[in-house]
Amino acid sequence: MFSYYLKLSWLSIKRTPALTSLMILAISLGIGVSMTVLTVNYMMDKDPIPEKSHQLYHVQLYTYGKGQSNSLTTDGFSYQVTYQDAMNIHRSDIPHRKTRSLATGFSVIPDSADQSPFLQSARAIDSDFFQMFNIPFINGAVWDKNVDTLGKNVVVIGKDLNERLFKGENSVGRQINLSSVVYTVVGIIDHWQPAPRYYDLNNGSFNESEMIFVPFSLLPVHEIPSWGNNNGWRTEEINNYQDKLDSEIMWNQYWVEINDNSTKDRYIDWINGYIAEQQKIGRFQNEKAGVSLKNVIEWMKVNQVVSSDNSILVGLSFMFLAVCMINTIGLLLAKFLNRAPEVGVRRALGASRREIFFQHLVDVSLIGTVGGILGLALGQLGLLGVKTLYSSYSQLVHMDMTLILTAIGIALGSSLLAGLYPAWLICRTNPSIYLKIQ
Amino acid sequence: MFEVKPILSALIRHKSSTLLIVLQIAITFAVVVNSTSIIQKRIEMMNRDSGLPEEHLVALNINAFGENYDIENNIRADVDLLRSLPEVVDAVALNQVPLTGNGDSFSIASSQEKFDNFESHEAGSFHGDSHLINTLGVKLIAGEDFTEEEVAYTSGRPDLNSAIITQSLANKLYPGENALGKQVFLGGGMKVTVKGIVEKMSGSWVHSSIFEDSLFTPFVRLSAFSRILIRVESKEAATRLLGEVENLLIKRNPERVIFSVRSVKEHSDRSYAGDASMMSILWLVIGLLVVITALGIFGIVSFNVNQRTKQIGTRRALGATKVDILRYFLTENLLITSLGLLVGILMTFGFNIFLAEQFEMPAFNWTLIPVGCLLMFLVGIIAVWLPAQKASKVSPAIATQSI
Repeated sequence: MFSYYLKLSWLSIKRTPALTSLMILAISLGIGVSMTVLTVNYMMDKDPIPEKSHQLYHVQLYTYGKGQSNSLTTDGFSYQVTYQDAMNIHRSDIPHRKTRSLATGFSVIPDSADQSPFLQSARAIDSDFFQMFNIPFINGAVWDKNVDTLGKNVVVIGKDLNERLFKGENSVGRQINLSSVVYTVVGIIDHWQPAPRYYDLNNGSFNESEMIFVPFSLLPVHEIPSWGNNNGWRTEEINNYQDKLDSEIMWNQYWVEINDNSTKDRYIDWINGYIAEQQKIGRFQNEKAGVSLKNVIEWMKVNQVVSSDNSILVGLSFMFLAVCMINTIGLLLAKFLNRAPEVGVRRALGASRREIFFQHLVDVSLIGTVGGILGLALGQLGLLGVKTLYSSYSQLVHMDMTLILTAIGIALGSSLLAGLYPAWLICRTNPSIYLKIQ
Repeated sequence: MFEVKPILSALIRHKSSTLLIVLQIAITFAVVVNSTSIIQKRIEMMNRDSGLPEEHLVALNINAFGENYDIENNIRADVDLLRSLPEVVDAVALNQVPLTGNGDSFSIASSQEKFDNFESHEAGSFHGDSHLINTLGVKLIAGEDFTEEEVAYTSGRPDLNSAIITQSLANKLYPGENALGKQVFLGGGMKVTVKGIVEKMSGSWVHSSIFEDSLFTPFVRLSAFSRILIRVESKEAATRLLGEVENLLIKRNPERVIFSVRSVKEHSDRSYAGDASMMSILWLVIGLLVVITALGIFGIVSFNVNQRTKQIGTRRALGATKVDILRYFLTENLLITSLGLLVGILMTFGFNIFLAEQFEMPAFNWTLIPVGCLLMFLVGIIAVWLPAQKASKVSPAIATQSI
């Protein structure tokens, strides 16, 4: 039966090529545009580390003084923490893993005279960082745990940098000069580019990941500069690096990995204890003083990874799809009613209403499928366009299987929906009217 | 004259297909007006006068790594070298470059009490040597420029006595008064006297509410990381300088990396890149939507013409002229479009209220409504023209032929 319906559909399409192409065009444009926008949005909003996004927490403290507030997330907490707080809360052994983090950078000075020095962004972190964020090593491994407290001139570098400096050889044990300090390479990581860059949404959500990682404990040793934001709320005399370390400026970030709720509660209690202790020496004087742990998903929401422009475009693209579908209903109505005399004859010859109804739905799904596939192709074209418009989104603009299936689903679903009313109308055709005219 | 009555009864008979076109026109109109409104706002923002000769300004960053690198002497030698170049008007070592999206800001107030009561204003903080105002190429409308004697070179907190502010900031600090000679409190008990006022200058953050509120102070912060801004005589000179400035500076002292060598115009374009992209996407959506709607109207009217060939023939045989037939279809479309626009205008307001609530979008420009209506009428007429023409060519003889 189904193949017979398909044959009938094919015949009817052949009879009205212009009307059919118009419908396919409308559906494919609707799908193309909405899929382009949805893909970008979905990729931005996608869980970047699904296996542990609910175990990784960004730690925020409310360190402001009385009546003060400044660079805040929507719930009032500041994005970053001070150096002294990063150091102090690092004493707690309650989290399963923990890392301090600072966006920085170095002048990389190659040994060979024919390569000129270049600038490279970097990150100062603790050894847990790589395991916490599932960063794969190609060669070597992260530095020893005791380096996290003692400090040592060691570095983990990215694959591309290794390519540039050591022509891709296993460079573990070799040395590199970063801003006139010599570091020993202990590990090389594979290409690692989460999008969005959820581990530091403060400094460009879709920027490139760093390719140099040094121990956080080296901050005071080499006076490692901050390349990220520095948010102060108090007027402080900052004359040197030590002043900055001791200040209330918030320029460090802190992440923990906690696997269960009871540990999380225990950790929050511990930090509240720390805050109470600090209040005795005059810090955390704000009435809102406290701690907030946000997991990756919450952290992305608070940082508005998906911009309002994107949300507007999603709404717009659905409007667009709606217009395309209304268009299709109108054209289907025209096409089906055109066929009313033929349906009248078929009904008179014994076809049931159900059969007529399903035959027309098959008709519609055929058009919907072709429109959907064409729409996917248009969507790819649209993504290519997005890539040229927004260079920083380049990793975001590819469709995965879920999106492709969604596209076909939307195309088929919406064209079936569009076909319901015309098909229903046509199956109610009264055969006698048309037989009389004939 | 216009056969409104028979058209109406015909439309009522085909109410579902009429309703579909009405809905289509309504949504298209609402989307077009709201999108155009967004585009308009972005264009306005991008066309703001920055007060800067953007195309004549070249900015660069220096990161020094030499172990015995003398920061102060190197900065002085760098700007001296740049100032001595033939096409260069002036050069300055400064902390931030306008329109880049990076920079420093701080809280200031017109009195210490205001400061203590959190009634301070946020302002962009620009500091550099005495060539700062001249290199930026902004217009000093009152007071005096900094002198070289005033400039402090320090790695710590400078001892500041005077500042220049933009008119926009002056209006916020001292509304209705002349800010020249008045004091500005920088927090921590530090205060400076306003010695000059700049007519207009864009700050670093193009999407910020403090975009034009800036304060200039005379000091150079000594750190391994520094910025230099150069003003040249022409756009061509800027292009030439962009190509050679890195080598010139590295040749003078190789113990550093020079990076982000860009014209301020390029920085500005980058800062607005998101808005420009949003505009292109919106234009595309508007264009496609209008085309789709036009094609839809075209398709349905063509179908109607085919359906009604016999009736049209009969009307022609009964004495209707070709123009009458043409007019029939055009009037029909006019009626449908008008109905669609009526619904569309209501929808436009609905969307706008939603957008304003969700995204703090400003209300749209009223004049867009008549313009949008005109566009939709035009699109409707173009879409029905061909099928209507075809209908007018139906021969009266058809009426007499049997099927």
